Amino acid sequence: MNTAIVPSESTLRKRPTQPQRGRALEVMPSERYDDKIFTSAAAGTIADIFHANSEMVTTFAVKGILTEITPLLDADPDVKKDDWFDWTWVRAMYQDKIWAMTQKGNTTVTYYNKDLFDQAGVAYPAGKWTQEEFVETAHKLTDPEEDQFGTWTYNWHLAVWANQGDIISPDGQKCLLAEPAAYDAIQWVADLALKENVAPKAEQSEVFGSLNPFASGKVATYIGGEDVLGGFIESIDSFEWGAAMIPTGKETVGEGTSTMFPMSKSTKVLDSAWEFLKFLSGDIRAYEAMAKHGKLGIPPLKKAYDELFLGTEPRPDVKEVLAEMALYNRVWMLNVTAGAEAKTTVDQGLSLVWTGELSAKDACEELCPKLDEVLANQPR
Amino acid sequence: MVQRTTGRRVSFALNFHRWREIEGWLFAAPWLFGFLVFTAGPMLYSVALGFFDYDFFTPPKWVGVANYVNLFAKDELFWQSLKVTTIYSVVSIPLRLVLGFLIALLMNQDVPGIYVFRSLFYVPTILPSVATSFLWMWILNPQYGLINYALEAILGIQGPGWLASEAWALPALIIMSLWGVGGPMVIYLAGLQGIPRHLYEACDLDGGNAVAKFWFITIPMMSPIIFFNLVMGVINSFQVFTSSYLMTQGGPNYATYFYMLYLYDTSFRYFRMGYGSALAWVLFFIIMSLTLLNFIGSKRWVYTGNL
Repeated sequence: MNTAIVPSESTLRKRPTQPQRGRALEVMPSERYDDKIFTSAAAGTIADIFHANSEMVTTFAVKGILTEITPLLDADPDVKKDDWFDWTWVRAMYQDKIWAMTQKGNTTVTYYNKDLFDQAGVAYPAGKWTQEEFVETAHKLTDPEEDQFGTWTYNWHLAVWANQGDIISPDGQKCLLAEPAAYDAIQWVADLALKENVAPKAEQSEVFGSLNPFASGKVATYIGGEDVLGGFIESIDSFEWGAAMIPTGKETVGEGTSTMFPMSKSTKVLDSAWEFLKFLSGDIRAYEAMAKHGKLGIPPLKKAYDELFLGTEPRPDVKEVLAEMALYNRVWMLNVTAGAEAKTTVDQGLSLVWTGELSAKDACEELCPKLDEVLANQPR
Repeated sequence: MVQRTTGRRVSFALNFHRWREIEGWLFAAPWLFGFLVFTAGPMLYSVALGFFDYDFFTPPKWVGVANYVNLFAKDELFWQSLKVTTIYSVVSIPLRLVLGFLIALLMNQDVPGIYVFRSLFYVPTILPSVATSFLWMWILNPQYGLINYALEAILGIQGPGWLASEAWALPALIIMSLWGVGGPMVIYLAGLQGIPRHLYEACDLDGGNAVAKFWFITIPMMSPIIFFNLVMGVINSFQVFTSSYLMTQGGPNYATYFYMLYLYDTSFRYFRMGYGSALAWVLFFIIMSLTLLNFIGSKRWVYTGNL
């Protein structure tokens, strides 16, 4: 049986049927999607191709559940790796082999509320701006009496990378948070709320729950990706807003994530499955369908990027910034096969930093041995 | 003839009883099937899994008692989660028992509108635990929450960070557990209403006051109910999951990392099913031991005589 499984919000379910017969598409509710994938993988009944996040791809690759894509790509005369951006392959790789085709990418930018900038008489951020300028701007835009914040919870991964530190070594074997470059950056993020008072403290940010705080109009700058763009376009009509680059530290960085489709090792229709994968990731018609439903993301395929993303409506100005930031993308958990456990260890270890109960240095020195143990025991 | 007739009657009776027996088994069969396939089977399978390294996807590898050795000798999170769960149980169970009993005593009064009050106290227990968790996240919010607002307005003190604080997160969840005190309250209430009136009348005739009635009649007569709530409280408190999963994710810094959350993470997020099975069976023996201890101890304080 030739099947593909996708979560319910996927564009695939809305897409016109791909021009080949005998293909079944199974749509799962998003909230139970991972359960479905993992249980069907455990039962040996997983679909030929399926939607997966990058952690899932690494986990499945190490378990021997996926077909390696590299030889298929190399042997296929219809496609060249150069048709896609280099970043396409980064998250799809494990141990220098490609395990999935990327359908869309993401990055991070600084969304800003133009009305709040205008009211405070502050110039909009443009081009590369520094972290110092960012903090100075956030101060000018913070108004405690109005419950207005200059910025929101800052992405600490970005801060670490911008300070030329790292979280886990590129080979996925060692925690690097106990290095000064890493914990100084984390402290800088915590201090935005604790000392600078330009971002909400943990308990203040809780109030918004799952609502996006930027849409409330009470947050002047907000670090987010392409995934929130559609929501902002749809829901924000009470103020003007724009996007700028992520503030630069010692270097400029964005954080990249990808939506991917791997192929099951148990597929009995390798050729058809490969054709379908090529369609999803390498055919302009797939991207047209995604664009039609506002789910384009940042296309990994250069042709789709040129024709459907850059310079197109809506909000070509924001897309231009997204496109530029994507060039600076970094990823974390690279080559980590115990992603969930590593993430829990890091989240728990840093949790007291955000409340000021522990310094970033102490927290990182305490958590790194624990993370090293998780990394040492991860499946290989 | 006589023998043959009697024989036929006996045979008929046997067939009838036999048929009724078969009928009974047939009625029970769906449940038995479900129990064997979906409960007993997986339970037995998990006993075996506890001695394997199994990740869902690759064949199980025999590791002997290594999972249990690691768990007791090396695993800090096992001890941390056990500590958190034990503290929660030791504090919350007595609180729930006493508070539930006190409220039941109040709800046992013959006053107008008492049914409304009973309903009000019981309603929180039928709310979904997910909704309750989100509600309490608001109530416990340090800046905008009801509790800190009341602390400041009434006592003039600034409340703690509750769920964000390593010291206060677990107490916060214990306080929240009292929200479900309506459950034991209803059981207490039924017990209170089942105490024969003539016992109190006899106490009146003997000149006993309200304290004597409570101490020498109400408490002994309610002791089986208290015992039931105690046993259920122990079993339930060692399986707390939803509140920590939704509200704190076990944090901050593992301060609310309950045993069940660790079991869930290990089995279904980290795919270490063998180790998760070992964790599950250790929990099973902890709960079973505590329940047995409760039953043994109950002989000293639970009144089971007839009146």
